[in-house]
Amino acid sequence: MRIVAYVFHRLIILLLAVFGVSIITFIVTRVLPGNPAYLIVGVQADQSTVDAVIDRLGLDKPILEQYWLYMRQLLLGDLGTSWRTGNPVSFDLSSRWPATLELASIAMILAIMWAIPLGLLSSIRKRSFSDYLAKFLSGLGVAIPEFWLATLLILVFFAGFEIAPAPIGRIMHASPPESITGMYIIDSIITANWESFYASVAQIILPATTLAITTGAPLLRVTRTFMIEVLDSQFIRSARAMGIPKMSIIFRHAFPNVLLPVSTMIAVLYGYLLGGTVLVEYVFSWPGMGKYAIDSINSSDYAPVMAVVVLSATSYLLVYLLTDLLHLVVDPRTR
Amino acid sequence: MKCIRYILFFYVIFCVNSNIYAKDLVIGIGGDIETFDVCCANFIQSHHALYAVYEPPVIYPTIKTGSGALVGDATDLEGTVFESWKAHSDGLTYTIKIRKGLTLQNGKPINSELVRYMFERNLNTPGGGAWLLKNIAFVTKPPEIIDEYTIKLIGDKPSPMVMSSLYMTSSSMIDPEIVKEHATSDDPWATKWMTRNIAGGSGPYKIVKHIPDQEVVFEAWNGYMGDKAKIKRMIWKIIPSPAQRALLLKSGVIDIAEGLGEEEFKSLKGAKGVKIITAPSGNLIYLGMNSSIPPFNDVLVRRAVSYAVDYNDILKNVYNGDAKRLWGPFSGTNSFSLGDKAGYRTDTAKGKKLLGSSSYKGEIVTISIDSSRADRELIAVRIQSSMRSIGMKAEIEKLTPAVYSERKVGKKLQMTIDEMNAWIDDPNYSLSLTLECGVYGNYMDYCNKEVDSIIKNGWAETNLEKRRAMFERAQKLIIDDAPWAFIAQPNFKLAMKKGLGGYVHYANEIPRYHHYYWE
Amino acid sequence: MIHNFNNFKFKNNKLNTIIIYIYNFLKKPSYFCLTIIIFLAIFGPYFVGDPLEISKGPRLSAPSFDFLFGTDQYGMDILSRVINGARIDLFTGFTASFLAASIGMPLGAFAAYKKGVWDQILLRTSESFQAFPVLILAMGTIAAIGSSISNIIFVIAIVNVPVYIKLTRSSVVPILEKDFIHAARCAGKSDFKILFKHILPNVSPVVISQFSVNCAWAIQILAALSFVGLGVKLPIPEWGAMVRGGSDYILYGQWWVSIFPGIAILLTVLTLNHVADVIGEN
Repeated sequence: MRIVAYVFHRLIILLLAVFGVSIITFIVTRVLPGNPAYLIVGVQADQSTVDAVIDRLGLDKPILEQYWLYMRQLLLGDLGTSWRTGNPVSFDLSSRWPATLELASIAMILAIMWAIPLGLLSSIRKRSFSDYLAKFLSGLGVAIPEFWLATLLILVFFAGFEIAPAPIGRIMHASPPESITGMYIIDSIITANWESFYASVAQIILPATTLAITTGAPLLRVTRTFMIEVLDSQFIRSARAMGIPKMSIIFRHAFPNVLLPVSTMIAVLYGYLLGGTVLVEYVFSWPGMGKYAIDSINSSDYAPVMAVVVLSATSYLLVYLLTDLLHLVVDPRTR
Repeated sequence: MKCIRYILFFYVIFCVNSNIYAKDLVIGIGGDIETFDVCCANFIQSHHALYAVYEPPVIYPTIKTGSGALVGDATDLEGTVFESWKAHSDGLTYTIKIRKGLTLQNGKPINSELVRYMFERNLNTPGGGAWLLKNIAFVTKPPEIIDEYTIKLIGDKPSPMVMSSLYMTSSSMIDPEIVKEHATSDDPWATKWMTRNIAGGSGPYKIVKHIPDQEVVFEAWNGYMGDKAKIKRMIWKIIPSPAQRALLLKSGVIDIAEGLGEEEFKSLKGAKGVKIITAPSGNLIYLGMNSSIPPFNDVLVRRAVSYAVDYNDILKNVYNGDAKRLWGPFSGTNSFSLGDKAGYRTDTAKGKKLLGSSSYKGEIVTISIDSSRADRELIAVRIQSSMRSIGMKAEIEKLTPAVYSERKVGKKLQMTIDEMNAWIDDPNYSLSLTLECGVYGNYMDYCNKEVDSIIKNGWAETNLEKRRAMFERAQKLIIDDAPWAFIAQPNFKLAMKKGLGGYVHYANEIPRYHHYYWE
Repeated sequence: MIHNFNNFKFKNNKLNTIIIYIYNFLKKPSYFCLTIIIFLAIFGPYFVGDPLEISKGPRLSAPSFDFLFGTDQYGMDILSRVINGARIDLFTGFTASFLAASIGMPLGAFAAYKKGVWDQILLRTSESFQAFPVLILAMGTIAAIGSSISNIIFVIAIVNVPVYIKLTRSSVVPILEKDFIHAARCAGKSDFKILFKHILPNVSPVVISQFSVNCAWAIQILAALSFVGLGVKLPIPEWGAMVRGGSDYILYGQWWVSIFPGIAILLTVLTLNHVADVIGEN
């Protein structure tokens, strides 16, 4: 019962947070210079053309009225229209948001798969080869700009060894599967479209790997640091003194204590990924949300920028809420 | 009997596998198609798509130049939907005959009503189409219908470009019924609907699939009036990074890489299986100096900068020699151009002297450029260095495309590096667009009364020698006033797979895709 | 430790002590590296040429005796640009991270210590800030308020504060159970004192570790900003922008344009990481 009340309480706060995010984003996008009308009409035009466009897009209404209109539409589920694509923003996002979600999720899974085990290993065996490897990889992963790494991987594995597929988008040589979630891999499994499945998996490997390397690095550091601390603590030392087997110490006693900060970090990194795939999307021609947002900023197209920010923020806060609930279940100290 | 069957079998196999008929054309483009509306298309991707799915009534005929390249002859005009036309002695009226028996892709016959609607819609929807009609052709009312296949087009003032202005994508044939079906009370010309949809279609291709930000698939239309497309299927893949487009072309994944910059072309030179098509271009690259913003309101400062710029350095190091020097406001291909008989040559000493005797007090000036154009950056840095050599301090400011357009149109940029491509190579076109006092496109706020009167009189001047003398004078005046430092005319370049032929180059630099074929 | 100084006896004992201290400091390779980097950042520009000079030499020329790191697409000497770039990157990274940490750490510790309402408010607010897609927010803000260095530092700092709050909080929570905190409370020490004298010092290793990661992120964000042309103004040398500008050239075969600034970033980050680890282990 208390848990239900807590969840409810958190959801209210989540709504307030999203509301706050929307106000700040609105202010930022409206303060953004650049009336898109001039870009739209181009060179062969005159002032009357510009005025017609300004009128059509409603760019001359006072700020408060624009915000009110926007919020009213938002509550009805209307995210506005992108003048750049001509589509309703919700339509644009329905294909781009799953693309980013898919990429970020696969990248996160890959990152967890390589970073946490290596972090654990290196904390147990300090000053060993695996420790130095871990330190080096984590430093490398944090320092390398992901677009540079992406270009390097393309050069080596696509152009060089010719084992990776072309950086040409989400799918090639096959049709996208029927759209249920919008994520090609999941949809092709659901519809048993194996041609699409293999084609989409092939295309996602390189971009996801790039992100997994740069996302896993901070994760590795955090895992290693916290694990070292925990292993040094009193109760582990006493467990060792009591003769409890090593494996048991590591996994049953030490690791759960690391779960709290590590899962916090995973949530933070996932949130960062959801909003930060843009450079990788650009290099791999991945039609995701990040690229959509940047194109919109470049074109002073406000509706998509607001929608992308509000959407990312909401998903992130939800992920966070879920992580906290997980903590509630796993770690009694946080109750 | 059996023999013949085998021969037939192998022939069929051969035909099916034959490159000419079965092979697709995969093109890498930089961004998705922004709008499908003929009245108001402004970005290249739109224009390219419109030339594929819609048909303009006239086009430049294809000729082969000395170097073997195929170009649209800008001195001649060929009718596609229009069969013939006659100019009346009053200089304002044109009687146009429409070709009989043509239809839209949905089967609707093309007749005077349809053609008139195209004009009417363009006149009433603010955009490039309206601009061409009102400012270049001086046509402000739709044509009169004489009979089912004859119309009469009347302009308000004489213009030498009435018929040729119709070769642009805006003059394409659309289906009035479809447009009216989607019109609303506050959108009587269905501009919202036409942004995303095709109204009928009249060109060599149809769009069969469009996955936003990923790909567009075209298929050839069998009922096309002209040379039907030899390549039946065309796929445009959206690949935002120009470097990746170049790489994919090199690896053979795509067949044409559009929108590449100088650096990408340099990397493709000599690549196996890749050829780069070059054609002379009317694109002018210039450094604009705002005559309304100090210190550039002082002509001595503008001249000083014009002497300071190291033109040969830019031609060599930015364009790798693939560009000609621009000497004045007209393209070197224009018969009225003075070429290198007038214009500035790099002379740092002279620049320093002029700057010294000018009103420049050492303040920092700003060169603003569009952040989406990589080549501008390369030029800006070199110009910054040239300006330093005469003692002027410049800062480079990169602006997003929308902000750049807004400030530029608002005449707020102190200096900028920009380009100007005239769809029609005529001095009246280019000057009235960019250097006439107070016009929308006169971003550097230049004004010279004598140049203005030359422009005004030039429209109606029919005597060729007189017109030449007038515009030579205009050039000299403009070069003396130095509102721009005239930098370069880079050649148009297109990179594609070896074995792909048929590319025809038009002055508006928009390809018509049905010309392509596999050799 | 003193044995190496048998040959270097100085008359003045104080000087002796100082020199020994510096020697020990520099013996650790990471500290040594860091010192070199900072030294290069401050004094390096005086030894190399003008980074803004478009060399009369060729563009994109490979590393040679004339140009040790080669030249870039503008024809400028990469070596001098890398050394000059150190100032901007290090300054931005340090300042932004320091700002973020000095705001985030006390807030995080405060949140964990106080629990209850304060904890909730701080946590939720910092979550909201973190929820913003970082790059997009940074790009949008810089586009609005201009791309000066101080604006960029400000934006990077704001974006990183929540991380410090969260991290500090989650590492303080377990400490709160410790006996010595109870003892301090019983002894009547004020909350403020307990926070600063007892809790924060124990949290530091984790946070310092994060500091070096943040410096690296700051440089990354600088690079990403130059992606939409919102980074430092051309042609001021800055490692991130140099890597971004040069990264396409890898595909054209001109690897040196982005490798050398990339190595500079890598060395700086690795060194910072190592320093953080060493401090953490003490």
